[in-house]
Amino acid sequence: MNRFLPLVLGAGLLTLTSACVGSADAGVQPGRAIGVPLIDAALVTPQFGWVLTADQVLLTKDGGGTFTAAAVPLPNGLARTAYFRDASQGWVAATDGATITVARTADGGATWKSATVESVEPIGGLSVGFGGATDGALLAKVQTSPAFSKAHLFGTADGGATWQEKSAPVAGQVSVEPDGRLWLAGGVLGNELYTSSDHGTKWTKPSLALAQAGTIDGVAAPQDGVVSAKVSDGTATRVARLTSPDGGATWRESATAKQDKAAPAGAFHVTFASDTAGWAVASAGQCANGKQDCSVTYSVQATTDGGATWKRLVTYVEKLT
Amino acid sequence: MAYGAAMTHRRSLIALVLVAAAILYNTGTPAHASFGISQRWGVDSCGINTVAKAQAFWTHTPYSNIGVYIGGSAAACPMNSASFMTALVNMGWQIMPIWVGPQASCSSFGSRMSSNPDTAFQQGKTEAHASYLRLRSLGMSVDNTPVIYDLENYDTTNSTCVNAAKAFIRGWVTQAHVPTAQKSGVYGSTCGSGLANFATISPAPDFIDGASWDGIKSTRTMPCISSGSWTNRQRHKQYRGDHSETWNGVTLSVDNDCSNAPVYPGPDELDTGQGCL
Repeated sequence: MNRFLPLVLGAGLLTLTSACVGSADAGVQPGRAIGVPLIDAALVTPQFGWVLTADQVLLTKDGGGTFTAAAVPLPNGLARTAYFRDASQGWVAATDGATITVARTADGGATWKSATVESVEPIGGLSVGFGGATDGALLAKVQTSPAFSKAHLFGTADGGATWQEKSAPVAGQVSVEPDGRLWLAGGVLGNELYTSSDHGTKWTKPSLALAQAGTIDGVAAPQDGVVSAKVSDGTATRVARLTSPDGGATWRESATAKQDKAAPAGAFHVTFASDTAGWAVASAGQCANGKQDCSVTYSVQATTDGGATWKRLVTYVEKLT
Repeated sequence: MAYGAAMTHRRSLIALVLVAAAILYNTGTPAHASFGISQRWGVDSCGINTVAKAQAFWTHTPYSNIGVYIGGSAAACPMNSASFMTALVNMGWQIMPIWVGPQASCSSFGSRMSSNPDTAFQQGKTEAHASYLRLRSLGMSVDNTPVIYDLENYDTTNSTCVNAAKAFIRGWVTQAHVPTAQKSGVYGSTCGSGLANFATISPAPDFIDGASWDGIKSTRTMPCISSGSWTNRQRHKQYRGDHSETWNGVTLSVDNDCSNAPVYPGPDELDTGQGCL
């Protein structure tokens, strides 16, 4: 089993362990080796954010100063995802392979209810999104080789109490507009964009014109006509602002859109709660002795100046060999 | 020993040394064997498509093996550059060549095999021959080189579909074993692709590349696969899928493998403590 060891980074930077000392229900004990990888994190409002590991959901209500572990009824594992639409209402999904459990909270993580969704194929990744309190989508990536991109889509109209299977053109990341329109970014090469206005029955594939080629690691539903997409070319990640000159047939990384936001090195997930406040999840691997003594450092980093500078909030080190 | 006998023995030794020297002189530096057994970690990724990215995931990383999609009708990211393959080998990578052809007859993929077992058998042979030709065009040895057929999930309760898949893989292995023979493997979900069904066909695959994203590196832990099947250094395991990793400043989506099975080229890389056994 891989071992994750929280690191103390120095004055002013908090680790998950130190941040949770003294919290009776934190579930994160000082000095405890965290045995599973950091999967994702997001800043939802400038104060509220979440961190997802393979066995924990950690919540902060002070912008990352302190974290507490939520008691979410989910199986442990690497295929997990979370989405909070505000500081109160959120969903976390996880799978043990074929059964997907979706937990939901309406009180900021204090209490949870859950529903299960069955898949006919082994699931290896999840993405969940909501456009409001009731309409949501759950995209379940089938375990395939990298040469394929296949997923099952499930939709809900009652806030996640029940789910119905729809269709999905590819695996990837899903988001939902308030009117229920779905957005999906993914595909084998990670460079495909799809939308559906009927909750996933039919999909259209608009043309996509990025300023620089890359994979789209996530897409947010449009706000004021601008789609935010996380784009990576392997060496740099940015939040690209896409606009459409033709009613949605084409989406272009436009020079007239707001400035793209840069993410720190190694970032694979980036979220902004405002124009200035955001989080990035990053990783960096290194071996000290050829192919021995290897480790991966995962971090959640925060910016308060729109991505100009980043500061580490939490860090895990996974010892590989 | 008598003097005459000793002289004869010495002359024989000298002759042996001269013959050996002549052989070495004529062949130069011995080439790598066309396969070796690796018990190391590997990565599969459509994103490792340039020499620079391959170097980033090689230097001071734990990875020694790389799955390369060399072609097939369903290959979404085929690598068909001999110079890139040569660069990978020169860098030190040991390759798991993967062929992505027609999928199960009952699957929803665009390219599918026939549901008729006789036809599927012939299709399997055709795919194996095509992969052989691709190996050659990539400048790779074809003598005992491992080649893996990528067979994704399908309805393993559908007997018609299962029988066609078994016939297809039987054709794949049969053709691969035609001299100059390759080592014939099959990739798939350990449960969802019904890999266990192929343990009893004849000829059976020489090895498997089983996907079970449970995070357990040991190639002995494969759900739905009997512990008695493919036991003689015949298992790669894809133990984690579809996640981002950053090495030397390059971030890519990758799957992780642990191996105890053949790779291209040799030599053997045995038990390096990476937990694959």
